[in-house]
Amino acid sequence: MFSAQFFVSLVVIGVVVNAMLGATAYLIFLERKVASWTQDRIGPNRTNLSFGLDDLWRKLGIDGWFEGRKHFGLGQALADGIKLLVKEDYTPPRVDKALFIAAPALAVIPALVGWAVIPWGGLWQFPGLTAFNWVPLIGGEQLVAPGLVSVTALPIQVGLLYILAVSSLAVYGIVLGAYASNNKFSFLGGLRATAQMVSYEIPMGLCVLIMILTFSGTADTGLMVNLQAGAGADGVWGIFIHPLLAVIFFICILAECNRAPFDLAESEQELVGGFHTEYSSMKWALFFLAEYMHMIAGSAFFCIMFLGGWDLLPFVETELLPRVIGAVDADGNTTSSLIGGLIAVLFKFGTFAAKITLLLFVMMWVRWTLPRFRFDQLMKLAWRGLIPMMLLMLLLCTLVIHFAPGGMPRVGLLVVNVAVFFGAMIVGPKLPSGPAVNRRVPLEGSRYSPVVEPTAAT
Amino acid sequence: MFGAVGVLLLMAVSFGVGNIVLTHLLGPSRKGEVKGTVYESGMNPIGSARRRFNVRFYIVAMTFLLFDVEIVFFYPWAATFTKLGGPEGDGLAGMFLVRMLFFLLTSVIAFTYAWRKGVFRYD
Repeated sequence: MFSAQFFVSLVVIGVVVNAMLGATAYLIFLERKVASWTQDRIGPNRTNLSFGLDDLWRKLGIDGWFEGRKHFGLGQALADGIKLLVKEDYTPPRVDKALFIAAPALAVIPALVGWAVIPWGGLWQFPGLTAFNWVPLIGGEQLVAPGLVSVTALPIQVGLLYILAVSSLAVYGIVLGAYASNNKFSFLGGLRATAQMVSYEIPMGLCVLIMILTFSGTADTGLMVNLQAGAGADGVWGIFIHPLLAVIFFICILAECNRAPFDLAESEQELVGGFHTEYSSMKWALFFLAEYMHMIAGSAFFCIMFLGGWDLLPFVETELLPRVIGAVDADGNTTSSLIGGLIAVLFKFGTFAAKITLLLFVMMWVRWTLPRFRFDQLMKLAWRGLIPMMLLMLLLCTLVIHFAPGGMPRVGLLVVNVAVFFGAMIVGPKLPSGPAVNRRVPLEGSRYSPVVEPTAAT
Repeated sequence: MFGAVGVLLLMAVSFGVGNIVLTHLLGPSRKGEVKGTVYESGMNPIGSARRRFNVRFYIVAMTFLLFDVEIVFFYPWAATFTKLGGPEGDGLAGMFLVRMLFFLLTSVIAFTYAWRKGVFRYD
């Protein structure tokens, strides 16, 4: 007999891993579609597997509407996957073989494990499972004990730290892959990726720290969502308390995922392909699967801290639909009837997934709208912009939380956010930049020192 | 309770390793002298990729360590600080606050020093 939590965790893992892999394949497809919409072209539309859409259009009587693009190229993700799998898996003879082969796996494993603490469906009073009577040997026995469960793969109290820790392992795959490639482009890409990812981890960590302080010292992802999902003044989403932090955190996610405008590690105009120059076939694709999974995990992280997780609407009593159909009891737990509880959990899961999809779309929108940062601008933004700002925020937020009357520091925190934003706008340009560090040694042919014309020889 | 995560880890590892093995088995394999050279935009490679690089990356890594360790120290403090009851509590909260502000001050001094030394200049 399993405990309820173990069983639910297993089910969540089984469902979400598969959903994640499917979603990743179709995110790449969506990315190409978003790119084509941005650039006013059609995008991939020739791989026309219908997936049953033909019948659907015919049933709805609208099959004349989509002349020539009935299926939107939905087979593209499948075709891409098969293509990548049967391409030549080439390992160049000059690479460090063990690391070169291990690096894609090292990139994709943390990405697949990192979402484990995301609370997809809140709390559920699980009724237990009993085998049907006609099943031989175990008929009529209770297979899963009833109990209160958290609908997540890993219900721990330090969930936020878990996400931070596991997602920062992602840098290993990129760095080892880049170093093992024994290629100058890869090496430069790896260096840039390391510097970028470690730099943006600091403001990210400080963001999480301030959110932990704001939500009364909890690092539990499920509890943090519950705190935001309450009614009235208690149930305020993080983004309404800390709008500036939300923006900074989103920037950090983009940088951590190596997404444009921070895709310095693979900037194709300068570094060919960056860290994956020497990779081919599925090994190459694993890096991208990892990137998209990190995007999903990062968006979910953002939802947990700032958008109230599975909470449908801010400021109001939540779980509207489940309450209407009676799938939630007075304590806010989903009921103990299996079907009712399942409906409520799926409703929350859907809300969460919708928020994640929205954030993913914003990431793609940003990628195809903004030009890439230069490396010095990137590092300046982190070290001279975000980190001092976050340290100041930490100081002010701590003071507000300590001295706020009656444990209601939310207005004070909002004021701090606005004040720091305008303060940074005013003070930022006036900060000294520090002494110059590059001594410009006159070098023949260098862009810093024009070639000295040779004096007329005797 | 944590057994389920073991299953997840197993799935992740088998996905990563399985894909690499599968693509190795399914794809064609053709080797050649020129194909084996390091890709350098079609030129013959000049020198090795194992070479010295800008010391700035090293400094970034060190500064990162400083701040990351600092943030790690902050987490347990953040978890307990809000539960101490503020100024109306038994005075512990004030003490915790002052100590942590001192700790923050040391990091700010280090940060300012690094700034003045030009660590954060990239040009």
